[in-house]
Amino acid sequence: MSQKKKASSFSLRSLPYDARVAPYVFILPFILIFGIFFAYPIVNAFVMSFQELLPGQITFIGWDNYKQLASDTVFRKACTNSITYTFWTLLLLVPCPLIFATLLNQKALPFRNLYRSILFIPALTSVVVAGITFKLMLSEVDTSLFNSLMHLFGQPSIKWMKRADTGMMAMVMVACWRWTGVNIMYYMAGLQNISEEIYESVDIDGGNAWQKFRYITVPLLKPTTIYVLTISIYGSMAMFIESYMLYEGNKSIANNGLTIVGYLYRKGLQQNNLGYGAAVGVFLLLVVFIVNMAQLNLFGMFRKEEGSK
Amino acid sequence: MMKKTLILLLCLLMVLPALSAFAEGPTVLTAWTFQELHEELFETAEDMWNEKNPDRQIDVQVTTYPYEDMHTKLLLALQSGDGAPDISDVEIGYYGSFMKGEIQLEPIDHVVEPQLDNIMKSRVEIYAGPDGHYYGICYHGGASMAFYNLELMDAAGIDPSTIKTFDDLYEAAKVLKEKTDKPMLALESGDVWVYRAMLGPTGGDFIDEEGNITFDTPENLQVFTYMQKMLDEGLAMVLPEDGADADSAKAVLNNSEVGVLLYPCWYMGRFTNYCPDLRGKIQCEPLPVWEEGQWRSIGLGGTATVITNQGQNKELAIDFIGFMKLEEEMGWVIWEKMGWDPIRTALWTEERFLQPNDQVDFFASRYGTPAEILVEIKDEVAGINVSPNLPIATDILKTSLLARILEFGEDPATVLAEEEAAAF
Repeated sequence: MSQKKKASSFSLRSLPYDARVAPYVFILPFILIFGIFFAYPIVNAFVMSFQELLPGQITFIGWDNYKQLASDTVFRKACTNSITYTFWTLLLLVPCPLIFATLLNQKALPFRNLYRSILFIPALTSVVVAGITFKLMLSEVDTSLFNSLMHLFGQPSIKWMKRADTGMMAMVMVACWRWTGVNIMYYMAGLQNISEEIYESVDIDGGNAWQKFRYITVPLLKPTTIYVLTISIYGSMAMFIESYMLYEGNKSIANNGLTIVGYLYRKGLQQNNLGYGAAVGVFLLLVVFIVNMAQLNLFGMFRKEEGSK
Repeated sequence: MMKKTLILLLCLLMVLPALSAFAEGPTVLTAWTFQELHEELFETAEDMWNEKNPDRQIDVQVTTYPYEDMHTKLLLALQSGDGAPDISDVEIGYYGSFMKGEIQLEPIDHVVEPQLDNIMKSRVEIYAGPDGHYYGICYHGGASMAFYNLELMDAAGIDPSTIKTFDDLYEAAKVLKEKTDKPMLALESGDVWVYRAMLGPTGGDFIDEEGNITFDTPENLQVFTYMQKMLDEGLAMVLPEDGADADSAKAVLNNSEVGVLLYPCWYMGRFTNYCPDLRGKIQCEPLPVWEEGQWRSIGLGGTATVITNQGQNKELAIDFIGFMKLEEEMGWVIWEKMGWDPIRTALWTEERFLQPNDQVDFFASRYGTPAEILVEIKDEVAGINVSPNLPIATDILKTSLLARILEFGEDPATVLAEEEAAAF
């Protein structure tokens, strides 16, 4: 009896040292965190999107939330806004940082470390502070910064935050201000992997700076570009804080600044309709998943390695 | 030996905080608000309560959060059943969200009911649940009034006390435009107060008796058609940003850019705090009406103070809130120190109500002081309909409906019908 007990306790004690078990022990913290804070909420969001959640009353209502979503004009407006916003941020935030990074990587450029720091500072600034500052600059009163600029050119004041086009411009502007530095950093990291010899060989072949950029830098940075594109698509589609801060409390005139996540927040939290909010979230998850998969597929991320060239 | 001592010490450490609960001391009540001025009132009330109740001493710990944050935090705390304070403010625009499902607030009927004859009933009825219980008490009556800028009125030779109807207002606006080139009527495209104040006298609402959203009514059409006419003729202006409570809008008012603001009484405090140049220049008047005989005010805005079902000392919290909001002495604090119209209307008829005080002295008295105007309209303050749909309707107004009509000049009839159809 006692021997049996001893044996079992022995095996338990030796368990962590078992080569088959050890890897699982090592990844256990990750699995736990992932399970509790990511997988469980995602699964639960799916479940919640089929429910009506009120304090003390949780009822399954089938597809009702999704049916409502399909005919919801405000939701459509939020989707249009998010897609427009994504389009503009991708158009600006992928190529521009690439060019800036290439320039900053030139050893001939004076003060390049200073520029790097300056371009990165916005990423460290609180979005709340930035949002309020931009809001004041774009205020519709005659004395705001942007209206003063308009007056310099003899133009009348504009209600910047109340118009659809200028409101979108404001959100894209904040995004560019904030993320350019971060994307530059990704590209700078990518640039370190391109060896000097390749550029030298272009020099020997008589290529100019543009050809170096076009035929060496851009193709070799492709993995970085794919990465930046992927996170930018997700980041732009899920944008919320910028709009929340620019339009105080998520209430933009004519819903011009309403994003998908903004609508999730409004319906789910501000109007206490968590089931509907969950449905919006599930929709967003599916859209981003499909778009990113399509984009990664397009860039050949899933193709089998065809032997390196 | 060492080990035993250590274990004993650790055990003691665990027990000590629990023991301290038995020690004498004021009972701690936690409270959330989104308004610094409310925090001030909580502290005043705490001192006065402790003076009167030596055997029920309290320590109210107030936290002020930003408006949206506080409400979403509270909604989630009540939804999940954990983390809510004893006492919390809930603004009326959000109140409907708290009335859904099983209500997670404590009924406060036994402090409200004995006072019903002394107070403006609508200010507790709007916070009654679908089950008929009272769940909150307001800070103020919110009786809306017209705030005329006397500097502009004098420049145009207009006597605001003669403006009785919206037709009078239209005629006066034409004179003002001609003489000073300034617009008469201030409108809001991102907030609801001016619109609600204008809708009030019609007796209409955008929530019906059953709690449904009804934008598409003759009363709403009348108000919006009038607003658009005034805008088209340059007789009205849309205040910057969301509306009168935005800083830039206060600057517009302070610079005498617009003739009249139709707003709830609590805006008096905004004038005294943010518009120093208007001292002695703002004349309060009853609201204009659409037809003779309509009520000349409507109780607007407001914040309920509620008791959550998660506190340890619910009874104490309820009694304290009853004291803070309904007792006579607190009514005087609310009127004289905060500059809000106390919901205890029994005070409005007392001599002391008409006495000058720091808040009231700011305003012009040529055609009557604010107190005199309030007394005049005392029995004409209409109430509003409240339902769980109110937050949804308010969101639609703030983010779409008002802007479509007032900023983009769309046809009111079409917009009202479309927005009502799309509302849910």
